[in-house]
Amino acid sequence: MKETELTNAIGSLPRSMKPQRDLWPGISQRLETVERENIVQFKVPFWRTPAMAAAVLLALATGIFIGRGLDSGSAGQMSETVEEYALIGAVKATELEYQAAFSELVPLDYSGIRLEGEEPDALRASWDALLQAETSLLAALQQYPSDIYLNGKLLDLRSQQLQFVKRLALLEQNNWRRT
Amino acid sequence: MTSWQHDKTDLSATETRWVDKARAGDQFAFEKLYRSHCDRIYGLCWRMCGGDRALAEDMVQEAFVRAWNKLHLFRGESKFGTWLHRLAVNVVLSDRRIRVKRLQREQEFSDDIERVQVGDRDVFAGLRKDLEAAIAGLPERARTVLVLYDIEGYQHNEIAEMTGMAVGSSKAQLHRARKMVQEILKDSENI
Repeated sequence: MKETELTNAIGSLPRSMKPQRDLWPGISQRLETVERENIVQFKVPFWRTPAMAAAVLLALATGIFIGRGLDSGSAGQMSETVEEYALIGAVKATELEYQAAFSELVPLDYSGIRLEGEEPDALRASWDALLQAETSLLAALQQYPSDIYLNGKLLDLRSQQLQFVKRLALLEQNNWRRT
Repeated sequence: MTSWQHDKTDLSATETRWVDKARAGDQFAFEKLYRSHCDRIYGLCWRMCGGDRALAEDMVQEAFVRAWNKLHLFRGESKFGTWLHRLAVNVVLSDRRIRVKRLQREQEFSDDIERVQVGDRDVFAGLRKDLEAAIAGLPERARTVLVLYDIEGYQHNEIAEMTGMAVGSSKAQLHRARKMVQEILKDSENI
């Protein structure tokens, strides 16, 4: 057989072939696994974020009020306790974690993130509320840096912000996958 | 516009809708894409796997799962089928089992000890059957180039890019593959 005949013969081989069994069930099973993972990641509804932020604001206001009261009254007795050192250590650790997570968020350009269908205005309002709480709390901590209540509130706030940043990153990832 | 062109346009538009829906997470739409392209992808995988049916089935499943996960990267610049086809080629090329088999096969052929023909030999009759068997019996690299160039219509520069070999190597492998197929067919005629 000449080479041209051979290439013609090879070229005329059918490109499509039917598999002997239906491969879809196996594929579908694996797709469902992927889907489930995504559902687990987003099982917390987003309407809860504004509510949580509002709760943080309320707690913050209470914390500042009580913290100031304690600082003028019994702060001297508590300042050297092990509990306080542990709390301030936890605050520092959370701060580092928050800074790391936030530094990852900034290059994404928060304002440019695509948030179709996930109430972007509500998310922005929640984040603004968290930032407002942060500003007030940091200002209060500048005046009373060793206040145990204020540090506790900062710990709570950072925890909320971390959750928010992580959820936002997951949402962004999911939106890209979907679109 | 002829009715054939109308049909083609409709088919393309329908497929675009399925792709859009699948990208939005619609598995039913993705199943339609699977049904539409399965045979084509299976044919490719079957040949690239040297006629190993079980391995080809694994590769098809892997290719479609990977397509589902990477659908957001498909921008519609090419046809979905073209994108999927290329993805399937990459899946097969990157599979470890294939690489291991490739080493074993190359060894067998370089030593010229035994030329084992593998694959589903009952699929085609006559010349087609002999051809398929001959292609399946080729060393891995030669078979990959022959399948991609002569059957699937890729160019040497595309094959070089996908396989990581030089364009010259791709041409040399194709020449080698054709010669070997000729020899195998000649031998089978003499038997």
